[in-house]
Amino acid sequence: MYCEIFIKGYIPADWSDWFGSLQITNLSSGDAMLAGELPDQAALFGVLNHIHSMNLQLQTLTTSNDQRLESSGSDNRHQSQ
Amino acid sequence: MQTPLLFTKLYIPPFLPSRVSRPRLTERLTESIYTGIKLLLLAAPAGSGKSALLSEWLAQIPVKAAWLSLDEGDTDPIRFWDYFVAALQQIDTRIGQDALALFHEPTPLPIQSILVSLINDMGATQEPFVLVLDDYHVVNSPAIHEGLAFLLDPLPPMMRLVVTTRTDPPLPLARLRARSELLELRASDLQFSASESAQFVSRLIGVELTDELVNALKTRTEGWAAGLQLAALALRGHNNPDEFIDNFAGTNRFIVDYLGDEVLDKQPVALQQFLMRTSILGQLNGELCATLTDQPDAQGVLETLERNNYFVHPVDDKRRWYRYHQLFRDFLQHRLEQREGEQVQDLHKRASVWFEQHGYIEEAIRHALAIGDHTRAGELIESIADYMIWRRAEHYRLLEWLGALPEALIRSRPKLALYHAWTFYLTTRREAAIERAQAAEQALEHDGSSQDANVRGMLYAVQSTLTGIQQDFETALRTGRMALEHLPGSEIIWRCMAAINLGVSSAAVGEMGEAVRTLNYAMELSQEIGSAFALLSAFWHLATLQTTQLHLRDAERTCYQGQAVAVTPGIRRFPVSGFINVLLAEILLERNQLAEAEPYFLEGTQQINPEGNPMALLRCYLGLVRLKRLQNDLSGSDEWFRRAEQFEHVSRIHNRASGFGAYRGWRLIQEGDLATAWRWVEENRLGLDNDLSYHREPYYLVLARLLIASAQSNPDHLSGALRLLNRMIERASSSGRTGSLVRALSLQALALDDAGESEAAIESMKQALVLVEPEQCITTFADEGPSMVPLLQKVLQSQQRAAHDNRPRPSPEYLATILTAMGTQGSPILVPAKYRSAMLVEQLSERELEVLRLLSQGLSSNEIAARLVISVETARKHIKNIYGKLDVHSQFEAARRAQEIGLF
Repeated sequence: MYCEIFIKGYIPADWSDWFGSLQITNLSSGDAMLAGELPDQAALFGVLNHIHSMNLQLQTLTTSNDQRLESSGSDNRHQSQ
Repeated sequence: MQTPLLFTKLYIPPFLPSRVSRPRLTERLTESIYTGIKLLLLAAPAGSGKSALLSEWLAQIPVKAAWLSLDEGDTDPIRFWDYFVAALQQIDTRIGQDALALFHEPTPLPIQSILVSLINDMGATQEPFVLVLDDYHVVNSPAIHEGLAFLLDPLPPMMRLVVTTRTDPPLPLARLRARSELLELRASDLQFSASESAQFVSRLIGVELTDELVNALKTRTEGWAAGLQLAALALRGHNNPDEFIDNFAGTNRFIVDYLGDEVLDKQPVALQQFLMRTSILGQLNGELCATLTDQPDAQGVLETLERNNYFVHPVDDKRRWYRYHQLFRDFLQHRLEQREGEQVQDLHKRASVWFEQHGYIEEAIRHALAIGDHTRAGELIESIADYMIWRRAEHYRLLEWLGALPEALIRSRPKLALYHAWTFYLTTRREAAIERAQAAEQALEHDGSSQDANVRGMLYAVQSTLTGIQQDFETALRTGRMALEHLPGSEIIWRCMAAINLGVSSAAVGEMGEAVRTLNYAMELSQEIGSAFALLSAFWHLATLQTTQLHLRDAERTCYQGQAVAVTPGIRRFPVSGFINVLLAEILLERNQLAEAEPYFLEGTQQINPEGNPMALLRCYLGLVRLKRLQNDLSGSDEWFRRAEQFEHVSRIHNRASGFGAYRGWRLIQEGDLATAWRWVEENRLGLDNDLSYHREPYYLVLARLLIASAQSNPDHLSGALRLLNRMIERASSSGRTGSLVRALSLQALALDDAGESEAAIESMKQALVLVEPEQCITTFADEGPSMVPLLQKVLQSQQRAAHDNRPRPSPEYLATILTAMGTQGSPILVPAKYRSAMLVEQLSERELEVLRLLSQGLSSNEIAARLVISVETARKHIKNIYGKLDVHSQFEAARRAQEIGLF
């Protein structure tokens, strides 16, 4: 399962291990993007839990089972809250 | 073995004077005490100040409070409720004593039925009280959520439940909201205002910040308590607060990482190392930290950290144990992996060893599993498994640990495989249990040398249990006996379990001696280990066997023992009283005390849990069917029969040995519908030469009755019946089953009598009677119907003829009691008139007969005296004797009895 998570604020790249080994990219918008493959939904919820427990603000979350997503403008991108 | 840090879970964190007081929030909490609020929910991210707010609030209000800190281990429902009750007992030690005992039983009982007793206990409390469940988000067991929701509905009015959580719990919040029973404080409520922020920083580090700086800080942290605290720590010792806050506000880096670095990097290297290395611990104490950090004054370090607000909180009064704030711990662990990753394995190993040496096995297992040291984890699990199963009933926790071990390891360690099998069995996963038991057996074969007799004994005990539930009694008996041979006396719990299983299996095959011996032994052992469940299980099997086999006095004794158990704390709500009522009712029924038996049966139908023990409930219904029939209330009997049939259908127990299936056939014979009865024989595939296993015995007794009843149309049936009964008598007497023997002998006597062999019939009947005269059994004979009356009469007469025969024989009193019972039950049997007067224990004298005749005509004692020319006193004496001999209490009764027995 491929997934992209946008978070408000920057995250140092060396925190990657704590976010299911997703690759961390800090964007010029001030957000951080976590992107990569996760084994399943359970792993995804683990990452989300960790985001929450660090009091980080989740912006958007997109997942796809078969293909890589465009990092922006995708139709099935869910707006959180 | 130590209780796993129980006390630290119940510790109410103290409110520190260095903290900001937040009256706007505590007032809202206090209001809830005086309204109909049931649940106070504090839902906000980590580090929002939820716990701190509650500790401030609890310090202010004059209300008793209890606290339960939850952690990852609390996903086992039993463990959760266990601690839940322990917390409530801080309020009132009387709360939940029953529940606590039940939670500790090794076999799961429906949680909700235990919670009912808990709700009642809590309801008895007169003063308001508060229970806090801290960090409820770690709970991920639907069973726990269901239980808590169940509890919330009838929550006693004096109780307020407080739940802190990072995510909304799956409880019926919408319903509580709609009923105004919920108070919520969420992230936005908990955010620090500007003035609170200023106060917070100045209290913490003694520096007053300008409004401008405070606002910048508040905006950047969004009033998040942990962010403010980290910022304050980073500010401490910073020469230029403006510059620091400027930089902080100007960076996008996430707060924990940015501030964590700021705080950590300012510390001396040794302290940095201390913080990182100890971050692997869920709970810290000085000695343990010294072991991990090689710093001798670790306790001093912890105290300094606490004093300086470095996210270290004491979790007990004596400041022996501490905990890092989860957020800070996560940050430190991350740093540890970055900077000293190669140390992690060694640190967990050291922690695991320290915990093991100090008796905290669960913590030791946690650390061994954290670094994949499975062999060590396996050894530790073996050492604690008995305790987890038998004392704490935390089966799911044990399963979780075992599930984390590699398959190959479990297969190579027979003991581990056995515990796995047993835990599967206890969580009703039978197939998995069987597979694991096989794995254990194979492992034991490969590794016979190093394994002691204990493990072999354990294997036999598990095999006996598993084959027993599969109805393979032969194997169950063999392995059960071997288990008791191999298990040493010190393995008392395993011996108890093996004894119960062996007893139950011997009872199932009707081996009386062995069953009674082993079940009595099991009762002793279960009392010794204090397991009410084991005791109850042994009790029920022993008492039913004794009742069925007409050992009525022993059965009564067993019931009294059961009753004694029922009044020990913790057992009151256990279904033992329902069981005892059924059995006492059956004993009374057997002794023909019908009116006394009825209320016991009726109470039994109310008390027995249909799901918990359907067989006991069916037994109760069947008792009422028989009782009503004996009272000649045929429609009442039909009604109970219908209910029994319905229940049998709903609970799907018709294929099991309930005794009810056989009764169905007997009933057809009683109703005279022999054709249908023969069809019933066919349906149940009952053949004269079939193997006679014990659990089918009631069926074959019915076949014998049907053969006898059908003999008029086909005389061959009598010899068939006799052949069948001979085999049954032989089996029953070699297995020591009195009840089976008495029933078969009585039928044999009836068959012989019908075949014209009176003398032999009388001998069989005498044998049967002698066996149960000490028990005063009546109904077993009465149940056989009217043809039993002339037979008993012949026995009575034969004894009068052979007064000097020294062979054992039933007393005339006993015979008369049975005959009287059969005549006075109002049962539909018609006793031939010539036999009736013989039912009197003592024959009436000539003069007494005269007096009775006059009494029956309604004459008074004065009139009788005048008529017979005797004194009034003499007449009265005669009347008194007559009453005694007829067992009546009034003139009217005497007249009726005289008529009944055909005197006039």
